[in-house]
Amino acid sequence: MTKNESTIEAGSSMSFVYTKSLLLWSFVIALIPVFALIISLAVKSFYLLQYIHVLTGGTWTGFDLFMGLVMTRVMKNLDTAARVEVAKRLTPTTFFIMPSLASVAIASGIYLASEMDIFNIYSPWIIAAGIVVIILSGQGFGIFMPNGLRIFIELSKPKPDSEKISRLNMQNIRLAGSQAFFQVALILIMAHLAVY
Amino acid sequence: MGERLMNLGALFAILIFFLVLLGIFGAIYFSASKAIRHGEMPKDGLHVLKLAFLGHIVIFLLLIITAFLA
Repeated sequence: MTKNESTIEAGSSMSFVYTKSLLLWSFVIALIPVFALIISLAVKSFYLLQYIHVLTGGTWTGFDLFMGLVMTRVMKNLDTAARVEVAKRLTPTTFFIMPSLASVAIASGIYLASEMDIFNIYSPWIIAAGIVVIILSGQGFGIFMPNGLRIFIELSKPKPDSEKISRLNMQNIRLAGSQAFFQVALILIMAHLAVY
Repeated sequence: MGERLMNLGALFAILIFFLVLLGIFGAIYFSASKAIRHGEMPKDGLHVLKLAFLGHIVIFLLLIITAFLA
Protein backbone atom coordinates (compact mmCIF):
# COMPACT_ATOMS: atom_id res chain seq x y z
CA MET A 1 0.00 0.00 0.00
CA THR A 2 1.37 3.43 -0.96
CA LYS A 3 1.52 6.34 1.46
CA ASN A 4 -1.28 8.08 -0.46
CA GLU A 5 -3.57 5.04 -0.27
CA SER A 6 -2.99 4.55 3.45
CA THR A 7 -3.71 8.25 4.10
CA ILE A 8 -6.96 8.04 2.17
CA GLU A 9 -8.02 4.78 3.85
CA ALA A 10 -7.29 6.09 7.34
CA GLY A 11 -9.25 9.21 6.53
CA SER A 12 -12.28 7.30 5.24
CA SER A 13 -13.11 5.88 8.68
CA MET A 14 -13.71 9.34 10.11
CA SER A 15 -14.95 10.87 6.87
CA PHE A 16 -18.56 9.79 7.42
CA VAL A 17 -18.97 11.92 10.57
CA TYR A 18 -17.05 14.76 8.96
CA THR A 19 -19.11 14.59 5.75
CA LYS A 20 -22.30 14.64 7.84
CA SER A 21 -21.24 17.76 9.74
CA LEU A 22 -20.31 19.57 6.49
CA LEU A 23 -23.61 18.51 4.91
CA LEU A 24 -25.49 19.91 7.91
CA TRP A 25 -23.58 23.19 7.64
CA SER A 26 -24.34 23.37 3.92
CA PHE A 27 -28.04 22.67 4.60
CA VAL A 28 -28.34 25.41 7.25
CA ILE A 29 -26.71 27.99 4.95
CA ALA A 30 -28.88 26.80 2.04
CA LEU A 31 -32.04 27.54 4.02
CA ILE A 32 -31.20 31.26 4.30
CA PRO A 33 -31.95 32.26 0.65
CA VAL A 34 -35.06 30.04 0.58
CA PHE A 35 -36.48 31.62 3.75
CA ALA A 36 -35.52 35.09 2.50
CA LEU A 37 -37.53 34.40 -0.67
CA ILE A 38 -40.51 33.17 1.37
CA ILE A 39 -40.38 36.29 3.57
CA SER A 40 -40.12 38.66 0.59
CA LEU A 41 -43.20 37.06 -0.98
CA ALA A 42 -45.11 36.87 2.31
CA VAL A 43 -44.59 40.57 3.05
CA LYS A 44 -45.13 41.35 -0.67
CA SER A 45 -41.94 43.41 -0.89
CA PHE A 46 -40.90 43.94 -4.49
CA TYR A 47 -37.73 45.65 -3.26
CA LEU A 48 -36.71 42.66 -1.10
CA LEU A 49 -37.56 40.24 -3.93
CA GLN A 50 -35.32 42.19 -6.32
CA TYR A 51 -32.55 42.30 -3.69
CA ILE A 52 -32.73 38.52 -3.18
CA HIS A 53 -32.71 37.88 -6.93
CA VAL A 54 -29.63 40.05 -7.52
CA LEU A 55 -27.81 38.74 -4.42
CA THR A 56 -28.42 35.03 -5.08
CA GLY A 57 -27.75 35.38 -8.82
CA GLY A 58 -24.55 37.33 -8.16
CA THR A 59 -23.34 34.89 -5.51
CA TRP A 60 -24.07 31.92 -7.77
CA THR A 61 -22.17 33.54 -10.66
CA GLY A 62 -19.31 34.66 -8.42
CA PHE A 63 -18.93 31.20 -6.94
CA ASP A 64 -18.80 29.60 -10.39
CA LEU A 65 -16.31 32.20 -11.64
CA PHE A 66 -14.12 31.48 -8.61
CA MET A 67 -14.32 27.73 -9.23
CA GLY A 68 -13.67 28.08 -12.95
CA LEU A 69 -10.92 30.70 -12.89
CA VAL A 70 -9.19 30.11 -9.54
CA MET A 71 -9.85 26.58 -8.30
CA THR A 72 -9.01 24.87 -11.61
CA ARG A 73 -5.54 26.47 -11.46
CA VAL A 74 -5.08 25.55 -7.79
CA MET A 75 -6.24 21.95 -8.27
CA LYS A 76 -4.09 21.39 -11.35
CA ASN A 77 -0.93 21.65 -9.25
CA LEU A 78 -2.09 19.29 -6.48
CA ASP A 79 -1.35 15.56 -6.35
CA THR A 80 -4.24 13.05 -6.27
CA ALA A 81 -4.25 12.65 -2.47
CA ALA A 82 -4.49 16.40 -1.98
CA ARG A 83 -7.26 16.64 -4.59
CA VAL A 84 -9.21 13.95 -2.71
CA GLU A 85 -8.81 15.93 0.51
CA VAL A 86 -10.22 19.02 -1.25
CA ALA A 87 -13.10 16.97 -2.70
CA LYS A 88 -13.91 15.56 0.75
CA ARG A 89 -14.47 19.06 2.05
CA LEU A 90 -15.69 20.94 -1.02
CA THR A 91 -18.40 18.49 -2.17
CA PRO A 92 -20.46 18.29 1.05
CA THR A 93 -19.99 22.00 1.82
CA THR A 94 -21.41 23.11 -1.52
CA PHE A 95 -23.92 20.26 -1.86
CA PHE A 96 -27.01 22.18 -0.66
CA ILE A 97 -25.75 25.76 -0.99
CA MET A 98 -25.33 25.80 -4.77
CA PRO A 99 -28.72 24.25 -5.71
CA SER A 100 -30.39 26.55 -3.19
CA LEU A 101 -28.73 29.68 -4.62
CA ALA A 102 -29.56 28.57 -8.18
CA SER A 103 -33.19 27.67 -7.37
CA VAL A 104 -33.83 30.90 -5.47
CA ALA A 105 -32.16 33.04 -8.18
CA ILE A 106 -34.28 31.38 -10.90
CA ALA A 107 -37.53 31.33 -8.90
CA SER A 108 -37.20 34.96 -7.76
CA GLY A 109 -36.37 35.92 -11.37
CA ILE A 110 -39.58 34.31 -12.63
CA TYR A 111 -41.62 36.00 -9.88
CA LEU A 112 -39.99 39.36 -10.67
CA ALA A 113 -40.62 39.00 -14.40
CA SER A 114 -44.28 38.10 -13.73
CA GLU A 115 -44.63 41.06 -11.38
CA MET A 116 -43.09 43.44 -13.92
CA ASP A 117 -45.31 42.00 -16.68
CA ILE A 118 -42.33 41.11 -18.83
CA PHE A 119 -42.74 37.34 -18.55
CA ASN A 120 -43.81 37.01 -22.19
CA ILE A 121 -42.81 33.55 -23.41
CA TYR A 122 -42.79 34.83 -27.01
CA SER A 123 -40.16 37.50 -26.29
CA PRO A 124 -36.78 36.48 -27.79
CA TRP A 125 -35.02 37.76 -24.65
CA ILE A 126 -37.20 35.66 -22.35
CA ILE A 127 -36.71 32.65 -24.66
CA ALA A 128 -32.92 33.21 -24.57
CA ALA A 129 -33.01 33.47 -20.76
CA GLY A 130 -35.09 30.28 -20.61
CA ILE A 131 -32.62 28.39 -22.81
CA VAL A 132 -29.65 29.45 -20.63
CA VAL A 133 -31.57 28.51 -17.46
CA ILE A 134 -32.38 25.08 -18.95
CA ILE A 135 -28.68 24.54 -19.80
CA LEU A 136 -27.60 25.61 -16.30
CA SER A 137 -30.25 23.43 -14.61
CA GLY A 138 -29.38 20.49 -16.86
CA GLN A 139 -25.72 20.76 -15.91
CA GLY A 140 -26.61 21.17 -12.23
CA PHE A 141 -29.02 18.27 -11.97
CA GLY A 142 -27.47 16.09 -14.64
CA ILE A 143 -23.77 16.41 -13.81
CA PHE A 144 -22.99 18.39 -10.62
CA MET A 145 -25.37 16.61 -8.28
CA PRO A 146 -24.79 13.04 -9.54
CA ASN A 147 -21.02 13.65 -9.39
CA GLY A 148 -21.35 14.93 -5.82
CA LEU A 149 -23.37 11.86 -4.83
CA ARG A 150 -20.85 9.55 -6.52
CA ILE A 151 -18.07 11.24 -4.52
CA PHE A 152 -20.03 10.64 -1.26
CA ILE A 153 -20.48 6.98 -2.16
CA GLU A 154 -16.81 6.57 -3.07
CA LEU A 155 -15.69 8.28 0.14
CA SER A 156 -17.80 5.92 2.25
CA LYS A 157 -16.05 2.86 0.82
CA PRO A 158 -13.30 1.24 2.94
CA LYS A 159 -10.91 1.71 0.00
CA PRO A 160 -12.04 4.79 -1.93
CA ASP A 161 -10.91 5.05 -5.53
CA SER A 162 -8.87 8.24 -5.21
CA GLU A 163 -8.47 8.61 -9.00
CA LYS A 164 -12.24 8.47 -9.44
CA ILE A 165 -12.88 11.03 -6.68
CA SER A 166 -10.25 13.36 -8.11
CA ARG A 167 -11.66 12.99 -11.64
CA LEU A 168 -15.28 13.62 -10.57
CA ASN A 169 -14.26 16.63 -8.49
CA MET A 170 -12.20 18.13 -11.32
CA GLN A 171 -15.15 17.56 -13.67
CA ASN A 172 -17.37 19.57 -11.32
CA ILE A 173 -14.84 22.38 -10.96
CA ARG A 174 -14.35 22.66 -14.73
CA LEU A 175 -18.10 22.54 -15.25
CA ALA A 176 -18.49 25.41 -12.78
CA GLY A 177 -16.27 27.41 -15.14
CA SER A 178 -18.58 26.72 -18.07
CA GLN A 179 -21.56 27.60 -15.84
CA ALA A 180 -19.91 30.94 -15.14
CA PHE A 181 -19.79 31.62 -18.90
CA PHE A 182 -23.54 30.91 -19.26
CA GLN A 183 -24.31 33.00 -16.18
CA VAL A 184 -22.40 35.98 -17.54
CA ALA A 185 -24.50 35.60 -20.72
CA LEU A 186 -27.65 35.36 -18.60
CA ILE A 187 -26.76 38.58 -16.75
CA LEU A 188 -26.37 40.31 -20.13
CA ILE A 189 -29.92 39.20 -21.01
CA MET A 190 -31.18 40.29 -17.56
CA ALA A 191 -29.59 43.72 -17.98
CA HIS A 192 -31.38 44.10 -21.33
CA LEU A 193 -34.71 43.05 -19.80
CA ALA A 194 -34.23 45.46 -16.90
CA VAL A 195 -33.37 48.47 -19.08
CA TYR A 196 -35.48 48.05 -22.25
CA MET B 1 -48.10 41.40 -5.46
CA GLY B 2 -49.93 38.14 -4.80
CA GLU B 3 -53.33 38.69 -6.45
CA ARG B 4 -53.57 35.10 -7.70
CA LEU B 5 -54.06 32.05 -5.48
CA MET B 6 -50.77 30.56 -6.72
CA ASN B 7 -48.21 30.78 -9.48
CA LEU B 8 -49.04 27.64 -11.47
CA GLY B 9 -46.03 27.99 -13.77
CA ALA B 10 -43.63 28.14 -10.83
CA LEU B 11 -45.33 25.23 -9.09
CA PHE B 12 -45.12 23.16 -12.28
CA ALA B 13 -41.41 24.02 -12.76
CA ILE B 14 -40.56 23.11 -9.15
CA LEU B 15 -42.43 19.79 -9.47
CA ILE B 16 -40.58 18.98 -12.71
CA PHE B 17 -37.24 19.66 -10.99
CA PHE B 18 -38.35 17.53 -8.06
CA LEU B 19 -39.17 14.60 -10.37
CA VAL B 20 -35.74 14.93 -12.01
CA LEU B 21 -34.15 14.93 -8.55
CA LEU B 22 -36.10 11.81 -7.60
CA GLY B 23 -34.88 10.06 -10.75
CA ILE B 24 -31.22 10.97 -10.13
CA PHE B 25 -31.30 9.97 -6.46
CA GLY B 26 -33.22 6.80 -7.31
CA ALA B 27 -30.63 5.72 -9.89
CA ILE B 28 -27.69 6.43 -7.58
CA TYR B 29 -29.44 4.83 -4.59
CA PHE B 30 -30.03 1.71 -6.67
CA SER B 31 -26.36 1.44 -7.69
CA ALA B 32 -25.24 2.13 -4.10
CA SER B 33 -27.55 -0.58 -2.75
CA LYS B 34 -26.05 -2.98 -5.28
CA ALA B 35 -22.53 -2.06 -4.11
CA ILE B 36 -23.57 -2.72 -0.48
CA ARG B 37 -25.01 -6.13 -1.40
CA HIS B 38 -21.72 -7.00 -3.10
CA GLY B 39 -19.81 -5.84 -0.02
CA GLU B 40 -18.04 -3.03 -1.89
CA MET B 41 -19.17 -0.31 0.50
CA PRO B 42 -20.51 0.00 4.07
CA LYS B 43 -24.09 1.02 4.89
CA ASP B 44 -22.85 4.48 5.94
CA GLY B 45 -22.74 5.47 2.26
CA LEU B 46 -26.46 4.89 1.95
CA HIS B 47 -27.04 6.94 5.10
CA VAL B 48 -25.26 9.94 3.57
CA LEU B 49 -27.38 9.52 0.41
CA LYS B 50 -30.56 9.50 2.53
CA LEU B 51 -29.46 12.68 4.35
CA ALA B 52 -28.67 14.40 1.06
CA PHE B 53 -32.05 13.41 -0.36
CA LEU B 54 -33.91 14.52 2.77
CA GLY B 55 -32.19 17.91 2.66
CA HIS B 56 -33.22 18.46 -0.95
CA ILE B 57 -36.81 17.43 -0.20
CA VAL B 58 -36.98 20.10 2.54
CA ILE B 59 -35.61 22.76 0.17
CA PHE B 60 -38.10 21.76 -2.55
CA LEU B 61 -41.04 21.79 -0.10
CA LEU B 62 -40.06 25.31 0.99
CA LEU B 63 -39.82 26.39 -2.67
CA ILE B 64 -43.29 24.97 -3.31
CA ILE B 65 -44.58 27.31 -0.58
CA THR B 66 -43.28 30.26 -2.62
CA ALA B 67 -45.51 29.26 -5.56
CA PHE B 68 -48.53 29.81 -3.27
CA LEU B 69 -47.26 33.17 -2.04
CA ALA B 70 -46.35 34.70 -5.41
